[in-house]
Amino acid sequence: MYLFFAGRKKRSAFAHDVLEHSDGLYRYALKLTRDEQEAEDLVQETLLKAYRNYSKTRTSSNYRAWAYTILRNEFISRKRKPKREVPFDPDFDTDRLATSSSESEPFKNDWKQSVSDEILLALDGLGETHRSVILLCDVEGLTYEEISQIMKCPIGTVRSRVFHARKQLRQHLREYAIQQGLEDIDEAV
Amino acid sequence: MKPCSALSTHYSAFIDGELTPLESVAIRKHIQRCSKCRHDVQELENMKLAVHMHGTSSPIRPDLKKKLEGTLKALERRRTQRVQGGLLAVAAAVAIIVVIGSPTKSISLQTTERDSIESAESITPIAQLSPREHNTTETKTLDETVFSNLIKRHLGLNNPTPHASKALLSFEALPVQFLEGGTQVRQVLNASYQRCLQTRSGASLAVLDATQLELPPQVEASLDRIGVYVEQRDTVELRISQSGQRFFVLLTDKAHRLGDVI
Repeated sequence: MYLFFAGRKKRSAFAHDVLEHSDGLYRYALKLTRDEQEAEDLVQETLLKAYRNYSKTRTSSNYRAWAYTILRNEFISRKRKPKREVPFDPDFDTDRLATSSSESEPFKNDWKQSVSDEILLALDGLGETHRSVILLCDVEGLTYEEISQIMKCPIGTVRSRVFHARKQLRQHLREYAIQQGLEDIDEAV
Repeated sequence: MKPCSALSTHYSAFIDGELTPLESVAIRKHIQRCSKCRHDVQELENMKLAVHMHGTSSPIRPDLKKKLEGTLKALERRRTQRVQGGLLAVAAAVAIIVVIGSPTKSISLQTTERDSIESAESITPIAQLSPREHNTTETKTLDETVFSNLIKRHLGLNNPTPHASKALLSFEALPVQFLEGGTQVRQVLNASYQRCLQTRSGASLAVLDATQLELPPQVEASLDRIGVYVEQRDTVELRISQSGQRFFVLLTDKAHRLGDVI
């Protein structure tokens, strides 16, 4: 009985501290792996590792950054191993566009989807480290300090990477805006 | 180097709220006067928002959390079964020892007993179940004592702030230019903190580690509501704000005006 309640207490605390971030972890994993199944596997493995080591953490720990660190380390170590064949679908988002847009949808939704794809393309055009800092900073809202912990680099390096990544994104979106005949990026996004 | 070129490398960190208050003030003052840089900052903010909106619109598996909880339950169940198995083995070994009641045991029994005891030792005692709750890192409260010590230090009455000593990351008197209106950006950025000790502006900045301090309810409520907590203590005004894991406490002599510093 004692073990039952001890386990339940640990799971409850873990759910509050770590499991709460599973949506963000999945989003990040999806952007890294570009495959839903692989992203789910990655998140599952991350949370299992976190759960096993949870008792060693302190109350003042930053669980969010810790979980992202585990996920990123797991992703990197998986990349190094010879992997099973996963068919890469270069049309991943284009397919989504094709199925989601239809003649019945108003032009505005098609345009928004197009801009969204352009942002995705711009993000994909970044190197993995630059893409990671932008995802962690802009999508997941982590601080530079948390990102430096996850990516194991100084805060100054994070700051520099964010600066350069945004510079590249701006360049890409500026070109897109010009192609669309818009005044500037503000009109495009 | 023109101010715009020097400052533009900081705009990303500025929109992310990762600059020190002094740097933020410098950039805010510059973009108030420079329309090109103001446009650049606005463009960066819009782009950040667009990336955020795009990123958070990615499909989320609604069943994912439930699935993960199920996996953790199964993991805990397997662990519990292993521990229970160990407990049963210990109980059986103890029962055998009691029944036999002889100091001379067979070697196989001794081995079994040792294994069982080792299994039993793997059970985490209740007192150690949550080592997180027994860690030695204690947080202090950002209370009267801390405020009082910071004010004394600001007024030059004492140096040590023992109550907040672990949390206090830096304490410096701010340069004269900090409070002056129409300040040239370069002057602010190049201000030497060594020099400013001789030319006190009447303002001090304390930076505290937020992970070491708990906020009183009224401070927390004010930070949540308007992003700053202001308190007047005799001749000194305290302004508290937070960025990431840092509290910034700006102490100003009442005679000086701050404007839109924080």
